[in-house]
Amino acid sequence: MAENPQENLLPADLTHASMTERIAGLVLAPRSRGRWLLAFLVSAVLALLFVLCLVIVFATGVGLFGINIPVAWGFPIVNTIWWIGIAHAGTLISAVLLLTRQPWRAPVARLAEAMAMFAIVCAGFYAIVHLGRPQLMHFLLPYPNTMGLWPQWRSPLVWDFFAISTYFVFTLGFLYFSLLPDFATLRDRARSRWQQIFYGVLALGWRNSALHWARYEQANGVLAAVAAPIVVSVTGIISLDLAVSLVPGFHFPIFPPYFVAGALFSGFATVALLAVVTRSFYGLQDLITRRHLDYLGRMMLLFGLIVNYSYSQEIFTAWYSGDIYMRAVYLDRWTGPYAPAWWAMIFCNVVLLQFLWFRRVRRSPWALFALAITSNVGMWLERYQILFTSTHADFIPANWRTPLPTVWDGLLALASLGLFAFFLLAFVRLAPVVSMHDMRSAIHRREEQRKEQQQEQQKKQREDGE
Amino acid sequence: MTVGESGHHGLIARFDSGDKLLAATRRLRAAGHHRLDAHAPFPVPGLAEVLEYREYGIPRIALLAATITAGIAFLMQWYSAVIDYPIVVGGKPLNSWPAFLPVTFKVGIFNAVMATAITMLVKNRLPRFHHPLFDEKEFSESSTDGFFLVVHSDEPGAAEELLQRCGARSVRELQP
Repeated sequence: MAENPQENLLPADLTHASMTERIAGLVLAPRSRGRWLLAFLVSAVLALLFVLCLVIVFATGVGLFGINIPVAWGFPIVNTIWWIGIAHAGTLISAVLLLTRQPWRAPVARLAEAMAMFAIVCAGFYAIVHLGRPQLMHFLLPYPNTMGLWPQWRSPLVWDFFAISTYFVFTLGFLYFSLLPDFATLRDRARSRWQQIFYGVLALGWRNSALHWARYEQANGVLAAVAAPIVVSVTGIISLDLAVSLVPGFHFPIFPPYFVAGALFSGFATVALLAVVTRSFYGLQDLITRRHLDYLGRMMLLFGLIVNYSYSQEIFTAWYSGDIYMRAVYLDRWTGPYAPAWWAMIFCNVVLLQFLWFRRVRRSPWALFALAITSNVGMWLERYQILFTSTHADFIPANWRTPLPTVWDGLLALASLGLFAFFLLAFVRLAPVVSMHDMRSAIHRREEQRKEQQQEQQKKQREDGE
Repeated sequence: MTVGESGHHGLIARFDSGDKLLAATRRLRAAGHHRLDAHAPFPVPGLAEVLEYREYGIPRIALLAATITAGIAFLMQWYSAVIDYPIVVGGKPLNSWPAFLPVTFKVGIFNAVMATAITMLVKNRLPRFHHPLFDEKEFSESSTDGFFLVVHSDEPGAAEELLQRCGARSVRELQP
């Protein structure tokens, strides 16, 4: 039925009560504990490894990473950009799809918000690690100090600090806002005393009053409206780290929109990945339908194509500028020591992306899952090759080096994936994976539409009768 | 007869759907009952308007917080870079205002978010961990599929009759 967009997105017999019981049941009385526990233990070990790596890196210094002059920014900044990018689609899904009233938002919004939250935690850690002297991080804040110093406001490093910390606070606030009424639902349905106290405290005494809801929706609207400029500005500002320098390969004015598109591409890929895993893990195939996967695939395709366009413009700029250093960087990307990374990126982000044109691929959970992984790998390689190829061959050939990642680079990157999984697994155990109040609103809208259709049909029948 | 919180009789009625709750709220208001509050598991469209919700505090305070703090942030950068600690970097002028915009913008956004969240909670008088309504039987259903209308009235008899006529599943007096 084309007229009723809610119809195919929700199970036909889903009611407020049955939906609430199912989703709240996943938290209050989970059935399949074994697989969750195994995954949680593995991720907990990796999260501990992350802490261990951080301690060792802080104690020893960033010399442990494969960075030196001329490549002063290695894995830490690559991973900061990568994690921030993943976070962005979370914000975009929950906020921009809310403002544009997309009917398919409800079942995937919570996953996207949680993903954004934990991706930004990983990005934040990497941003601190990349500072080199993380113990002096507070120098980035304008606080009164005996040295009489101020932060350097013209420095992208200071911009980053403000951008990432603002984004962190926003994401936390937006996630908690979305959870607040759901915590109240869990409080009301909890049977054990501990659950009642735990969710009772988190729910802040929310009692579903119509006036509370009105203010809540107003506040959510403001936050969502603020989210759109945040999505554009955070990765935009981070791309300025590179773009405001004079290094050939970094110095492109196209970087902010190019990085934002890349961020959204990898972010939608991660939402798709989590959606596929969650729906099969919790048996939510009827709530997160193949049509939802289809929409996520379309978003991946859209932003992936913008990324492809940016690649072509980057190459064009290098050629058209006539600058021999810029051209040399490009030739080095294609044929130099990091060429495998460049070509693998093209394979993942340009060649494999084209599969998403096919409806059957977008609607197949496992095909989408595979493409989500290759897209994330491709986006990681993109940041890797930008960082390394642009700086490893300096203006003076005597400076040329080909640094490779060390074991600490690899361990910390692996452990950061574990940390992300750890937070996410803890989250799905403690909070509903699907936003219950958004689902109730969606069910209500469908009922309204059904009524309208019935009335129209009756009207038609009456007219035909006459 | 029990006496409610405000010295008047309070009633709580349960309805089966958002539409019924909305219709009942409309009729009670039309009949002159003005001390009403509705409770529903999701924001029922139109319900707040019927309850005469006309507030624009949250967006206004957010906008105000954003512009004022963004202005302060810009002035702080200008003061530190031009007056307190003038140092030429990369041949740029001391007042290189375009470079000050990212921090200005972020500080504004940060405070808009904080102001929105705090205003929402303060105006809703949250956190408030206990409320007399939580003692009501079935009220916990308001977060599943219960639609409740709370009426404080000087004429509880008339209100009760009206609620029944609007199709309430149950009408009860509030605990004192």
